Amino acid sequence: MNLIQYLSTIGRLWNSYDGSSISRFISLSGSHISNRNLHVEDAENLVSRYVKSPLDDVINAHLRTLYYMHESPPNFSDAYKCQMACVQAVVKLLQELKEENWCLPIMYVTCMDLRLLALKCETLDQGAKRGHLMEKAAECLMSCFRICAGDSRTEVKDTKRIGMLHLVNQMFKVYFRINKLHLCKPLIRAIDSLSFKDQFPISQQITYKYFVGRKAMYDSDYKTSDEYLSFAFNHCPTKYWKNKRLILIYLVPVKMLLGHMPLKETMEKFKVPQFYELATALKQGNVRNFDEVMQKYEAFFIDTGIYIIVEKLKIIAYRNLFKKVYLILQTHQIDLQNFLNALQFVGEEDITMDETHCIVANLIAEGKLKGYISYQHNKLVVSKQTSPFPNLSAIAGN
Amino acid sequence: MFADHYKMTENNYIIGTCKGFCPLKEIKLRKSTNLIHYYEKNGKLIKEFTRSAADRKMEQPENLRTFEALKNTLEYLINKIFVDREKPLNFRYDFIFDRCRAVRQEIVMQNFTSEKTVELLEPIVMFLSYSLYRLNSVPISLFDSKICQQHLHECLLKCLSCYEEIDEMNVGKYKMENRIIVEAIHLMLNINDFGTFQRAIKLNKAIKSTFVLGTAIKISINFHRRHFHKLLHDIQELPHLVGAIASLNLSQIRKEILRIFSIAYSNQVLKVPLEFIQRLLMYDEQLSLLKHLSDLNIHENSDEKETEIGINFNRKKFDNSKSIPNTQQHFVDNKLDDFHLPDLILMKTCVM
Repeated sequence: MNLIQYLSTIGRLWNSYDGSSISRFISLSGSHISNRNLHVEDAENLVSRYVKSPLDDVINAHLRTLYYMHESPPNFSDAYKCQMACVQAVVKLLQELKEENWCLPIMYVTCMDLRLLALKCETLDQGAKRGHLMEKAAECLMSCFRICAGDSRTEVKDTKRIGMLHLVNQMFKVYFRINKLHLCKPLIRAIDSLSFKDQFPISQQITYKYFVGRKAMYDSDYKTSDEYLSFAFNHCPTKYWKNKRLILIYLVPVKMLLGHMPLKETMEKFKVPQFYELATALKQGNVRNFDEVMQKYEAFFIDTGIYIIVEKLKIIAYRNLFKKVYLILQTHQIDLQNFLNALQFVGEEDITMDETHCIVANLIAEGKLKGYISYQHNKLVVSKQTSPFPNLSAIAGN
Repeated sequence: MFADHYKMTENNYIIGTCKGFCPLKEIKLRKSTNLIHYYEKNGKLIKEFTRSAADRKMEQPENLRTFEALKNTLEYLINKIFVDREKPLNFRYDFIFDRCRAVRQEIVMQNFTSEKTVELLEPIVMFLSYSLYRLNSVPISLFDSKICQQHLHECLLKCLSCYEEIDEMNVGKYKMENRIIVEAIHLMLNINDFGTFQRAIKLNKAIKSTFVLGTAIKISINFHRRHFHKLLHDIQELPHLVGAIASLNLSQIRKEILRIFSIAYSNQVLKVPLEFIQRLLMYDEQLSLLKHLSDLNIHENSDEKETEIGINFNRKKFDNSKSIPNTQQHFVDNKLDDFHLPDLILMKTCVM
């Protein structure tokens, strides 16, 4: 294929409103990209002959991106700038094509490529400030998003609003990467208020629920997190094993916080033995063992961003330890000294009575332990009728 | 924010030539209009902060100060104005805050290197941290802690990105001990924020395993785990201004503990000794504890004899809609007393 064939094909596809075919020809993972005939720095004259406005600017920018990507060595920094110009041209295109949405695939592919190029630049270029190019890319995506979200008067079948979720997912990927989760909030609100939010393609819904579920986890809203991550996990096809595993890495600790311990087989199947080992320590109320598992897999917990969530699980170890003490003593007035001894026994060597009070008080306040503390007698008083340790999964407000 | 120009060289920006605290043009203007601040009556005018117009690149070099002049300005502000005993701190703060802001503006306008930026920003971080702690209970008409906090946050972020840039591009250097203090202040100021914690824990081992930052990270973890007893113990281990900023979280932590206690010790008859609560919640004065207990509707201090025996917690009485103010902490003040404050703020002393 030479340049003229390439351009005339695009011109023809444009005339037949074939957005998704065009998108294949301007994708940076398309089959055309290694074609040397297309690596032309400036083809504006030719482009204008075959491709109509407003698509011409998109194609110009795309060809320039290809040109810089195939310089030797590849000039990703300038390629990124051209891809940015490409998305800006798409913004104009979206603005001009009122009340129609067949052009959305063009937006999808250029936006995704912009994000990926930003990522590439940041991993390659030592000089680039971390997150800076990614953030710029997200700003660019945002201008597309504004146009889509603003297209509210057009009928549902033609509205650009159906492009919102794709963009939101792209922006989530950026915000999670650069640790600016607070920027997700308005996006979530925009999606949740759409009347047709359940009609987006299932793959987009899975990505969306995965990120919102993670966000809810960091906001300590575990019920929502469980709901969203479970949806993502259950709907993600088995052939995407890596993605399923990724979802699971966040779903499991949330489930554990809600009192559901993971099965050994599942954890082995997805190669996340970390959680099973944690669960074992928790079940035994073995605080020392819990700390050891934390230390052993510290890097994994930090890299995946669940370190603090997993740390929060420790209170379950205390709960199970105290339950053991209660079952041994079989009394309804337990001297806190017994808890202190147990804590020291499992390795909390420098623990004091004050701290024991605090741990017991925490469990009571969270509803994980039913009873009250008598400071004067240094005793925990629990009910005679019902079990003082309700099932973790049954605790309201968890 | 500032990063727009990071790829350009210093030469694309104007380099200041003014060697004094204030450009001549401003001196003339302010003298003729009699806009002289109380602290400038002795004749030493210091460049004011003015919102830059759209044509700020047109600024003349003689209206911008050299790096040395900016450093001297900061040193003068801290060594001469900050230590003044004639006027209250909030008055001194207003003046220094404004003049520091002008310094920060010039950092952007002249696009200083990361190395120089950090050198100028670190003392401003320390000054704002000190003010935020010391002026925390001053009424809002005299001191707006929100604005102070916001500016401190901006300075911190800028410092952190400069450290990273220096590391990544291997240009220039910074004092590691200063960075650790700045990192720890940032972490303690944003103890609620997950992203800040995530950032800290991903730092390299050499930084995060230092005593100061290691302790700050432990405190964050215990904050999220709601393991407040350990947290309160560790806070007292933090040095000077890191401890001061960490102590600003005490009011929310105390309230949370009292909420937990209102549930766990809830009983009509049984009492919890005041001394236990005071010790656990790190109150220096019993009086302020009693005041806060009454603020949260836990206990009315009507009968002193009763109070002496202890507090009746009742889960129904605790009022979650109320909040309690922060207090100055002896442990912080004692640590600050060990330093000559201007040296600490200017980081001219060993800060670790």
